[in-house]
Amino acid sequence: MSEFRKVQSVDEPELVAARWWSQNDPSESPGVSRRSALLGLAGLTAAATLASQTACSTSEPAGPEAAESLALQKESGWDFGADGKKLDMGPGAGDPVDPAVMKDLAAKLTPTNPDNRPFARTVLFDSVRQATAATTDLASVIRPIHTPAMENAELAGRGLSTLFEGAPAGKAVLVDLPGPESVAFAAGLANRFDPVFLFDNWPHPRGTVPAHLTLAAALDRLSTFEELAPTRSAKAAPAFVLDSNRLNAFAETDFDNRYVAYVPSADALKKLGVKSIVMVRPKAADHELDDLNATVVEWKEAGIDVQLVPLDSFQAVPEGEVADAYGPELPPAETTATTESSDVYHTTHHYTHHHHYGGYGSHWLLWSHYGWGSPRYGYRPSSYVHSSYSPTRRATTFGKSAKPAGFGQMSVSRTGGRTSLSGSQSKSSGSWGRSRSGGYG
Amino acid sequence: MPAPQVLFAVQVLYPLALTGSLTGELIEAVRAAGDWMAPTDKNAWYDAFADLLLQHGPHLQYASWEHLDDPEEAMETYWAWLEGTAEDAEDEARQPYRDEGHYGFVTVLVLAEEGGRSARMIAEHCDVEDEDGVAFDLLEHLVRLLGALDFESVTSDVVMVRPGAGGRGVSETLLGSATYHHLGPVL
Repeated sequence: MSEFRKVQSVDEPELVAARWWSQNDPSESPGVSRRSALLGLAGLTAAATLASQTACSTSEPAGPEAAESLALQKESGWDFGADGKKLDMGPGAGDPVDPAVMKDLAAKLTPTNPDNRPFARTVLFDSVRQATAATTDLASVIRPIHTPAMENAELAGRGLSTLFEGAPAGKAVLVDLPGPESVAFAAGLANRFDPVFLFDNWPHPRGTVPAHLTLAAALDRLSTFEELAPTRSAKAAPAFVLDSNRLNAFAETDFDNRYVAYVPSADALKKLGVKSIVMVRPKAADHELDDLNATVVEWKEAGIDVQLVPLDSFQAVPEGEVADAYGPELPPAETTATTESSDVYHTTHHYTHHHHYGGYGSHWLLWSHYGWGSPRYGYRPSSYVHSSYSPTRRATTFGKSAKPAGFGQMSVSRTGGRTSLSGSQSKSSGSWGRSRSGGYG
Repeated sequence: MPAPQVLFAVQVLYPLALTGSLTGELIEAVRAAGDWMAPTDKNAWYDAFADLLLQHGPHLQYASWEHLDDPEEAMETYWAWLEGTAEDAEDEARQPYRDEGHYGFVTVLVLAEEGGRSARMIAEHCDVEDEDGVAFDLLEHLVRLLGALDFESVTSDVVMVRPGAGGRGVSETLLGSATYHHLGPVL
């Protein structure tokens, strides 16, 4: 029985296509020149081209083919092609964690609000319990990490969480920072928000994305997530947690474990009751990453307000001034505040130690900056200038939930049932540049 | 020397505003199709594809189909459909007609061995009078044919969905251009 092999695929915002060729047929093309012209067409980038070249003729020696990196790892081990290179956990990594704890990681970090669960992507957390052909058990080499950047992010997350006390309902959070910081920021939010992790790759010693550090950060903050989960509302709004390293630039010696973020559509957000997204990025001048542009613009066009709150807008409170943290207009009710306008943001766990938006004393200024109305606490005047971000469509190589050809893939050779990485791992941008040369027949 | 081939092509257009998730579901179906597929996988895939497409029957607005049994013409046209669709998709990003209703469409191409069982099935199914439009019953008949083909005697198949995720599709104005003159209304 002959099989069909996919010899070309295109996944672009304007076109999704796939072409198969029977392996019974020894010759694909009516002429090399015509085939070459086709290979210059839209979206037919490195991966598709390689596949096409191998499939053109069964009489030619088998060449390299493109394969999804994650599928390769599942098939041949998480460290497939590492050539002896080990994971670098960085300085200050903690002691090994009981493998039994790691095996339950995905379950322990599942959203507590059932409405949020369909959106979680736990591929990274699942990586530690996969039985694969790896040379080393991943669970045995991952160590928890806790870095100063994570500490800063967690205190900022706590600061943002406090600002939702009495906030208008319908707000969700999207945290898009480098993986470990995103995890830590989410830990800071977890008394009030339901973390929905969107980590969609496996670690690799040569990974373009240092996913092992994100996994290590999650292990470090696991007890915090578990402790805070029962303190928040059963209907807690989601905090979507992403790793901004997912689109890192690929280098020739890397293993391409990049991925695109799959965030809910505007309709799905509305079904969750979300009217506004607070997006956390490193700096005020940032915008959403390329893979989210089409979706974030869609959110905006559907009437969902998207605001950017930069991580660096949260600053440490000077030593000894925590008691006056909310500034000179501190109302008497502040110390016993437990009520919110929405059950969604209810929490029984209140922070006393956190970073402050815009600096000491101006914490509640955020409400004014982002048009949330009048906060219940006063704030000091501040010269802090808030982000002027507004979602705008721009040209990217990503569509909504789509990725450029070659992205997250590796070139491999399969010989005698054995799979190995091929020598060249060049990538193409997936651009549409070419000349017009024909039309319908 | 390539074996002689016949070509069967079918193309269906639908207004994006009236067909909800159809384009998204077609895209997911194409993405989910395997890199390697057995002939029986092909039958199952096209059966599901036909179900997906035809359930939007009332909104399938324009269609075109083609059967070419001249091998040289079949191969030339196969490449022309591929190239033309890709080129037109590229034009989408530049088209100025952004405020109009837009259409999505799906195109399927099949190259089958001349004289083979699939080629004969295609010839039988396409032995119909030329009409100004495409009767829905005929369209259904042709789309269902895809899942019934003997893929042991099929050489290549192609599925193209426009727009992809994030694209706008074909504008009402462009539908009136020569590029789409081969289409007829679904009756």
